[in-house]
Formats: sequence, C-alpha cells, structure tokens
Amino acid sequence: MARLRLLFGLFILLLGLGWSARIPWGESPAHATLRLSWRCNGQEIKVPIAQDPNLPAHMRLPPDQAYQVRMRSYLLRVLLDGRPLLEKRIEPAGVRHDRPLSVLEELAVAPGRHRVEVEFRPEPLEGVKENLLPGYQGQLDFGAGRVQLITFQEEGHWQLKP
Amino acid sequence: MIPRKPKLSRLLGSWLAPWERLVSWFFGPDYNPTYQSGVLAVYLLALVVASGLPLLFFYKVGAPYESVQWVQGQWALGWLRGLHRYASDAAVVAVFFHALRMLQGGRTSGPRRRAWLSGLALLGLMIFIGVLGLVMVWDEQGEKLAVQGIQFLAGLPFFSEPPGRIFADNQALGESFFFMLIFLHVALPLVLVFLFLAHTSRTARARYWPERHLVRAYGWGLAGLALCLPVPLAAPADLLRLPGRVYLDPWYGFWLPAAEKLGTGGTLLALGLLLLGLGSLPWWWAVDGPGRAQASVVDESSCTGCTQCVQDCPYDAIEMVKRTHLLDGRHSPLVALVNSDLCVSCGLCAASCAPMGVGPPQRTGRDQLRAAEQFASTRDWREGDVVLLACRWGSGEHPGWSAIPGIHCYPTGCCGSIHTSVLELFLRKGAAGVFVLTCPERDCSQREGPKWLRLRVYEDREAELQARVDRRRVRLFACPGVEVERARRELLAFRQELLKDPAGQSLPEGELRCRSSEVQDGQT
Ligand code: HEM
Ligand code: SF4
Ligand code: SF4
Repeated sequence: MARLRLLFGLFILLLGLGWSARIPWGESPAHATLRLSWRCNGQEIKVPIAQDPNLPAHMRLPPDQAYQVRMRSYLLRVLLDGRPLLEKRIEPAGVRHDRPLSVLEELAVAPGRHRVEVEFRPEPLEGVKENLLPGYQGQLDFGAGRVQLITFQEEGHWQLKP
Repeated sequence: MIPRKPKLSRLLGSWLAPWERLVSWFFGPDYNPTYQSGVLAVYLLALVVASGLPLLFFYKVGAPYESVQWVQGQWALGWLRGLHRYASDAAVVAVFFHALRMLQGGRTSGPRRRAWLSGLALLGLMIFIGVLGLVMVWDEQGEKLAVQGIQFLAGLPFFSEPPGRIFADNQALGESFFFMLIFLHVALPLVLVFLFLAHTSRTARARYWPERHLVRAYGWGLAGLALCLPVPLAAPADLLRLPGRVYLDPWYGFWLPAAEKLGTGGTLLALGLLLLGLGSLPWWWAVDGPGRAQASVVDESSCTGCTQCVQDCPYDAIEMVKRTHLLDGRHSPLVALVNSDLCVSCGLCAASCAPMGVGPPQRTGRDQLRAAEQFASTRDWREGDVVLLACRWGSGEHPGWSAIPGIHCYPTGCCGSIHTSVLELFLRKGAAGVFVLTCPERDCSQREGPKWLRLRVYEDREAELQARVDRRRVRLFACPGVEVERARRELLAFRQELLKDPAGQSLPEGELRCRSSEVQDGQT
C-alpha cells in the first residue's frame, strides 16, 4: 500500500511537471505595431568658446579652434492618418551626449491601412540654417499581430520592413 | 534555555501543515522529496548537465531554431531535450522546496547566513542560465523572454542606447548573439559549482547525493516523462510578428506575466524589494527565545581530548588545540576549542562528550542531568509511565503531548543533543521507558541529530547509552513533525508493551556517566 502511494505520488509529481511545460500564456495580439528603430550619427554644431579678452593673444585659442563640437538633438514626430502619434526629442547618446542618436519606439496601431508620416529632424537652433532632411510618408497595411518596421538611414533615406 | 525556532518558522510550519501532511502521506519520511530537496537539486542539476552535453553538439548558432527542430525530430535526441528541460524544471522546484525547508527549520541566521546568501545567488544564477537556455531555442517563447528580459537591461544606467534594438529586426540578430548565449549557458554552470562549494563550505560531511531509491525513481521517472510527453516546440521566433499565445515555462519564465503587468520599472522595483527582503532575511528571521543561539563552550578541566565532539559537530566548529592551561600532566595535551563564529548552537556536541565537558551554556550534559533530575523529582511515577523526550524543533511543542495519561512530556532541544545519561537517569528515577521522538534523519534542523542519537543508543558510538540499560525500555521514533497522530499511536503501543512486560525495570547500581577528565592509564 505504502509503495502504491509512493508511486502514485511520484506519478502526480511527474504529471505536474509535464503539464507545467504546456501552460499556454498570452493572447494573440489584436493590434499591430509600428516599430521605429535606427541609429545615426546626426549633425554636429560648433559652439564658440567664450575667451577672456584680457588674456594676452598668445594665451588665447586661435579663432579656428575656439569652439566645441556638440552633437545636435533631434525631434521625432510620427503622424498616423494625419493625427500626431508621437512627438519626442531624441538626444545624442552617452553621458556627454556625444554619441550617435538611437531610436527605438514601438507604437500600437489598429489593424488596417493607415497613412504614416515620420519626421526626424535636428532641433531648430537660432541662427543655424537648416538642411532639412526628408521625412517618410506613405500608406501602409498593418495586419493584426504584425510589426511594421521603419528604419532611417543616414542621408535621409527611409527603409520599410517587411 | 533551549533556543526555539524563529517565530516565523513556526508560523510558516503551521500554514504549511496540511500540505506537509499530504506529502508525508504519499511519500513517508524515508522518501519525502522535500526532506532531500537540496541534494535532489544537486542530482537534478547533474542530470541537466549530462543530458545537455550531447545536445551541445547539435546546436547551430547560425540556425538555432532549425537545429532544435531537427533535434526534436530525432527520437533519441528529442528525448534528451525533454530530459534536459524536465530535469531543469524539477531542479528549480527542488530548490524552491529546499529554501522553504530551510525557512521552516529556522536554518537561516548566524553562521548559516553564508549558506542562505550563497543559496540566493545560486537560485538567481540558475534561473538566469535557464532563461538563456529557453532563449537559445529561439521559438516564440524564447523571443518573448528575450524581448522582455532585455527591457530590464534598458532600465540599467550602463547603456548609452536602447539594448532592445538588437531585437528590432530578424537580420539585426546575428550568429554572435547565439554564440554568446551558448557560451554563457555552458560557462555559467561552472560559476554555479563554485557558488555551491561556498554554499556548503560551513557544513561538515555535507551530503551531495539523495538516497539511492530517490535517485532511481526520479531518474527513471524523468526519463519516462521525456519519452511520453515530449517537450513542445513553439513556432519559430519572428521579430516582425508579435508573439501570440505561447507555452511558457513557469519555473524560469514566471517573471514574464509580472513584467507585462507591472512594466519594466515596476518589475525592477518589485525585484529589488524581493532581493532586499530575502537578502536581509538572516538578520530578521532568526532563532528567538531564551538561550538564543549561544555558542558552545568547553570546560577544559573536563575535556579528555577524545576528539569526539570534533567528529560529531555538524558545522566543523570545533578543533583540537594544544592545551595552555592545566599543564599538570594529568590532563590530555590537546583540548577542544569551539569557534564561536561557526557554532550554530545545535547542542550536538553536548551529547557527544562522555565527560560532559562541552556544550552551549546551560545545555551541557551536566546541565541536562540536573534539569532532568529536577523534572523527575517532581513527578509521581506509576507503573508503565513513559517519559516522552520530544524535540522542540520538531513536534515537541505540540499541545497534545501534555494530556496523555502515563506519559510525561519532557521537551528538549534536538534529539541529538540529549546526552544518553539523561535517558538512563529517567529510567532510574522511575520511568518504565523513554520514548524519544526524533525528526526523520534527512530532516533534522541540526543536520545530524537523529543519526548520532541512533548510533549512540544502538551502535556504541562514543558517549553511548550504557550497556546496562535494557534497550527494550528505550524507543527512538522518527516521525515528521506533522504526523503527531502516528507518533501518539506508537507511543501508546510502547507503553502497552512496557505494561505487559514490566520485567527488567530496575537498573543495576552504577555511576551515571561523567567520567573523570583526568587521563586514564594508557591514554596519552
Ligand atoms: C542550486 C541550488 C541549491 C542547491 C543545489 C543546494 C544544496 C544544498 C545542500 C546540498 C546543502 C547541504 C545540506 C546538508 O548537508 O545539510 C545546502 C544547505 C543549505 N542551503 Fe542550499 N542549495 C541550493 C539553493 C539554496 C537556496 C536558494 C537557499 C535559500 C535561499 C539555500 C539555503 C541553504 C541553507 C540555509 C543551507 C544550510 C543549512 C544548514 O547549514 O543547516 N540553498 N544546500
Ligand atoms: S572530552 Fe568532550 S570536549 Fe573534550 S574532545 Fe572529547 S568530546 Fe570534545
Ligand atoms: S553546538 Fe556544538 S555541535 Fe553544534 S555547532 Fe556548536 S560546537 Fe558544533
């Protein structure tokens, strides 16, 4: 009897273990996802270094070296069917913000065909003439549970996947 | 003066009692897997390694899913994969019960702190290695775990760009990612080994292997399970598709639903709080009551240098050193010395010392004799009366013991800390028998109590029960703390036996043990 109980106990344990490898979890997503993912070098700006006019000339930086190079922050805007879906300032990465810009955004979108516009531009700066990069505009089909990936390439090219 | 289990352990024990009873009913004390959960975890991890090594040769970092799919298609390899996975799952279950057992036994504080903290590290690392293994398959489950898991890294301040970008696109994920996975999956178990050595570094004669029937039963059981219920393989991961319903391994992926509910920040916060609670546990889940965990001390004038306490201490807390006092030539050149940093105050040494020269304060053999004598003198002994010595760490505190006619309940510390002279003393003072209720040998909170007591009573281990004591009047009964009813039946049956056969009740006159500390003739 004790042996039978033992075997039965072991059987239940093993059955539980087998069952635990088959626990279904999660739901089939009813939405689609617009994924924006890229990394780009961004634009540099030169910020003049204020120099003490009282310093003797030999102690001042020559005018062609009297600046610091900074990476510019960018603005990311996404419109879906003309309505804003995301507006975000993207700072260059790194503690000193001197690394390339990285973007990774996942936006839930209702399935169907949508007009998508994406702008990724340097933040306007006073006195700096902008070299406007083209944004992305297009009609895209979003299937439930599918991901539409949009990638920005250097020089303003956009790539879509799938 | 006997330290008690932490209050929280007693509370936990009462909550878990119905479950314990159920497990005990199925498996009995000898094969109860929760009693051997630590060593079962070792065995299961060994099975994991043995079944994982051959699979390693068939894993392709360039085509992870396809290679696993191929393995699944070959029945022998598919079976190995099943065994690998089920053994890993079972190992986490075993570790969970092992930790629970330690909590329930109050084995968390003092010198056991190291085992507790390294245990936590072992568990964390084990889960991490397991998750890596599930991600390596690169099916939808692996994808979910990877995509969610990497969010935790994003929450850490070391990354200058979102680490989740590697999962933005199928093409972005190269062979190097899977190479890193397999490298860590194989290399980290070595760290596990070192952690395990630290984990058991304070236990003398640590057991590393379960009892052989358990080895066979679980080995064959898991092998059969892998054969009958092959582990499922979900659809391949596709980063441009959102994973739907998947089979989630609850033992390694338990955090996934929480992470989806609480978000990354919430989960990290919950994890931090959990770690803080468990990491600080040895400081707040500690032995309480009077005489709490005081280290043993040696009475150098009694010590004969026999080394028995060194051999019996389950925590290697005693060593023999050269005597610096009592150098009169009449005492042994070596004397025992307790390292109070290692002593958990289990009291086992008190019972191992024939001359009663060592033990925690007020719990040495002499103290025990004194207390037992006092107890015996207040009793009204009748024919067939039995003294029940019950460990307060096991079922000794059960209220049911006090109201049984003819039974004198005498709560003690761990049964292995009861000096055999105490058993003899009760028999001399009028008890017809002594019934020692011990915990099952594999479930002693002090590790080796029931074993040492059995050997001292029946196998002449040093500090043995004297030959003059009729063993029919002594009964050791190993019983899980929750099976009080069974112990009660056994106790009453023992009393009936004594009532039926009262012969041999008187003990020949003789000194109760308490040998002289002075060197005997021929002893160096
Ligand atoms: C891979 C995981 C683990 C394995 C293989 C393992 C195995 C073991 C073994 C074999 C022992 C020695 C038992 C003995 O001989 O008395 C032990 C002791 C211990 N374990 Fe674990 N363990 C693991 C994880 C844990 C965890 C997660 C905890 C708790 C957080 C824990 C807490 C303890 C404690 C406190 C002891 C010392 C008990 C004592 O000294 O009285 N262990 N473990
Ligand atoms: S006499 Fe007692 S204290 Fe001394 S070594 Fe032997 S057991 Fe230990
Ligand atoms: S009480 Fe004695 S046997 Fe127990 S750990 Fe301390 S020295 Fe070792």
